[in-house]
Amino acid sequence: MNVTFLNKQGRVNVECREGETLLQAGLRHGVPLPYSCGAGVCSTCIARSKPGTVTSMWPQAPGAQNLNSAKGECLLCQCVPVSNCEILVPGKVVLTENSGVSPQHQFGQLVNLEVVAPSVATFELELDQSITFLAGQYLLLRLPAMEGYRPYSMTSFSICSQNPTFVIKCVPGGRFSETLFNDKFKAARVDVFGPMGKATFDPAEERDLTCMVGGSGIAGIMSILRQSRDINYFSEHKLTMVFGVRKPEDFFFLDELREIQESVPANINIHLAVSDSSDSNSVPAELAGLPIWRGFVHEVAERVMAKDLSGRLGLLGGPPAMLDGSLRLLLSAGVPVHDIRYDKFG
Amino acid sequence: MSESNEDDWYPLCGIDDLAEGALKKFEVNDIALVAVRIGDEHRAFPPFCPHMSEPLHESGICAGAVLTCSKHLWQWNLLTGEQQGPAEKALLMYETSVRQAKVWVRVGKELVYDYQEEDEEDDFEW
Repeated sequence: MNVTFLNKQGRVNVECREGETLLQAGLRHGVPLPYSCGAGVCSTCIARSKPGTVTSMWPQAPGAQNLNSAKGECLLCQCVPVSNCEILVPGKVVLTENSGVSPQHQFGQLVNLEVVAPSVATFELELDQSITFLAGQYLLLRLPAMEGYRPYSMTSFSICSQNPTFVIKCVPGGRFSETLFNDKFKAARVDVFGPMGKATFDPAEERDLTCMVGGSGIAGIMSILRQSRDINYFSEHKLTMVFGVRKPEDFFFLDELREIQESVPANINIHLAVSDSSDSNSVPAELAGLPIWRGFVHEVAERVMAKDLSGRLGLLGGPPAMLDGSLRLLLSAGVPVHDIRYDKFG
Repeated sequence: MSESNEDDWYPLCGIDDLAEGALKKFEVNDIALVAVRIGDEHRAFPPFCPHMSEPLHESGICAGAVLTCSKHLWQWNLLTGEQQGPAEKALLMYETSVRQAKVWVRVGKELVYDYQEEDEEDDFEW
């Protein structure tokens, strides 16, 4: 089917495959459509369609709850066309300017699931074809019969990879994560689209970094840290990071974080935060050689990195409340929005 | 708040009732609005982000005179209402003044945003 994206700045026609979302069709052709999560949560990709020309794969998507259907509003990331259609894209994006990147569809196999903490596991994706991605990006993954795709940030980094790795939290009721944790994944082929995401990092930017991450939201930051470690980036640049979970036993990746910390101790400061302090005796002073503080990520960050915020690039990952608190801290410290990067998945 | 005055001016709160940079929601003349104090200046505006209708008293973050909606990082200069950074629309403002140790706001007609940009985009050849 043909889809025409249009606004005041121009129009562009693309071919949309059977079952492909409007967002995927546009991005695959390099159309710079607005999006963030790509998975029906954040509402960044709201657009308008004519009545009856598109249908949603996931009408109950959180980001679809405030759509004005009378105005034809829809989520580009959830809707597929039912006929050739025109889609009005709001805002000042110049649709005819090719983005220069083209995420693609393919399939992969989930392998090497390893539980690394209560309710947290890592897994690997054996892709049919290798992909090129930037540290901090994610892939959209969909198991057969799932209503829509879910975004998962790569934790690994390689210029060209056919086996990216991921971290996943088991969410009660989450079909993707529950399927993995129930060990049914071995038989499943996964529908893959990507790479996606703009919360990326390029070492050529030559920036000092502050990272605030919570739980499995550390995924994209791990990719950034692994790339940086591999090129010895922190011999010339500073990193201050707070990694938070609820309880000490919920931490993972600590041995690797300690190795990164010890690789350039003069320039790297990694702190741990635990938010559930109901049993204060259970919180040690440090874990795996990294200091632990009580409090939410942004609270600990305010304590340990207040002087390190200005002039740095802020990289965030985690649940909505953690993102909001961290964002508030960065903005209050005068960090401009163009120096703050995150994808809002929650 | 039912107390009214001439020319649609209504008392909003005492001058000490607004903490610096804290966004507080009010209802005045049956119209919801958000008020904030920046130094000695007070500002009042509709309670929704002009981008995608996020409730600004929840999603808004004040840093100095800059308001940021945490949803998609649209920003405005609170003293002027002008957009900055990635924002594409200005913040609509109600008039405010300080008299008799109170903050007053002029709320005659509700200020609303056109989220669908009908005036700009409904003239397309669909």
